[in-house]
Amino acid sequence: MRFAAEAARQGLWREALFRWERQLKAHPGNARIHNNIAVASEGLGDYARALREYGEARRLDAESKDIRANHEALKELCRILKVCPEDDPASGPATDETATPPPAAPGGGPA
Amino acid sequence: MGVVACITAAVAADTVRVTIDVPVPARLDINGIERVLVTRLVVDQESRDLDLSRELVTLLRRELHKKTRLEILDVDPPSLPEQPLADLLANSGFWRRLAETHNADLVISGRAAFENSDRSGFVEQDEISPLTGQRVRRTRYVEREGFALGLSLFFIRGRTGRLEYEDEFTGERTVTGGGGDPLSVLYELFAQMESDMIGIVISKTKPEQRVLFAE
Repeated sequence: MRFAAEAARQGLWREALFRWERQLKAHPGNARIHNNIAVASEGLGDYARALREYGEARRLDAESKDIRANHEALKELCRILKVCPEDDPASGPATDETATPPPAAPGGGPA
Repeated sequence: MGVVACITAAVAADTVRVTIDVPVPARLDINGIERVLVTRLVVDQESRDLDLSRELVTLLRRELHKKTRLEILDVDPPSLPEQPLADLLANSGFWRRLAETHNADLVISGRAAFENSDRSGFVEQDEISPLTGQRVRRTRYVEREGFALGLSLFFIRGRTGRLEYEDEFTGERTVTGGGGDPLSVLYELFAQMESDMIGIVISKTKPEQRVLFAE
């Protein structure tokens, strides 16, 4: 995850997203990876996916303040700037069919 | 989609904070719009020694000229007929004729109010006593003047004469001491609003901070 975060630091969102997506396949219940995918999606302007991924991350780890803050910040951005699809769930957990229960321990999963 | 990100600070051992430049589209579709006419504004209230409409139109035209590729027509700002604002905005025939006369694709008009009021009063202030060196709380009378600017902007498509978009901006400033310069305060308040105003007609980016997990 650190390598992907480094790619994100350099603005290489597609590279970072590719790596996090690959990690997610191995660890689908990892809230942190869902969060990072959501951030990358925002960076790429895919707000619908970002909302879904934040929702899934919060479902998996309801206690994480960082994930909640990221999600709420995007929802506020959507409300003010109207940059998100209107029919997209701007609140509540995602119903992304790729999400795989049961959830891991909060924030858990491999690095 | 142009995105710049940088890790600005580590917020915890396993997290990093990144700044994303989120693309923000213009709020008004300006496809096909090149020539823009700014009219005089409807003034509800203005400060002493100040032609509010003239000052705001000058500021607005200057910002639009500087920060957009639109052609801002350099003409005497046309006056508006005296009628209730709702009727004026619905008067598509007037706007269409005005746009035709100036060959304008877009007409920008508005309504403004600039009020000043006496906000003097007693305030409590903490001071260090020169005698004892201790912090003491004193009540003092302070002269203050308050200024409030309210500005509504209307964007009317020249071809149809119809109102396409409207937005409202407000700002306040309190100046300590009497005799504040209304013009300086007006410029200051306008400067606080101008980025939002320009965002109506051009796309921008907005820096947003997010937290990534590195482990």
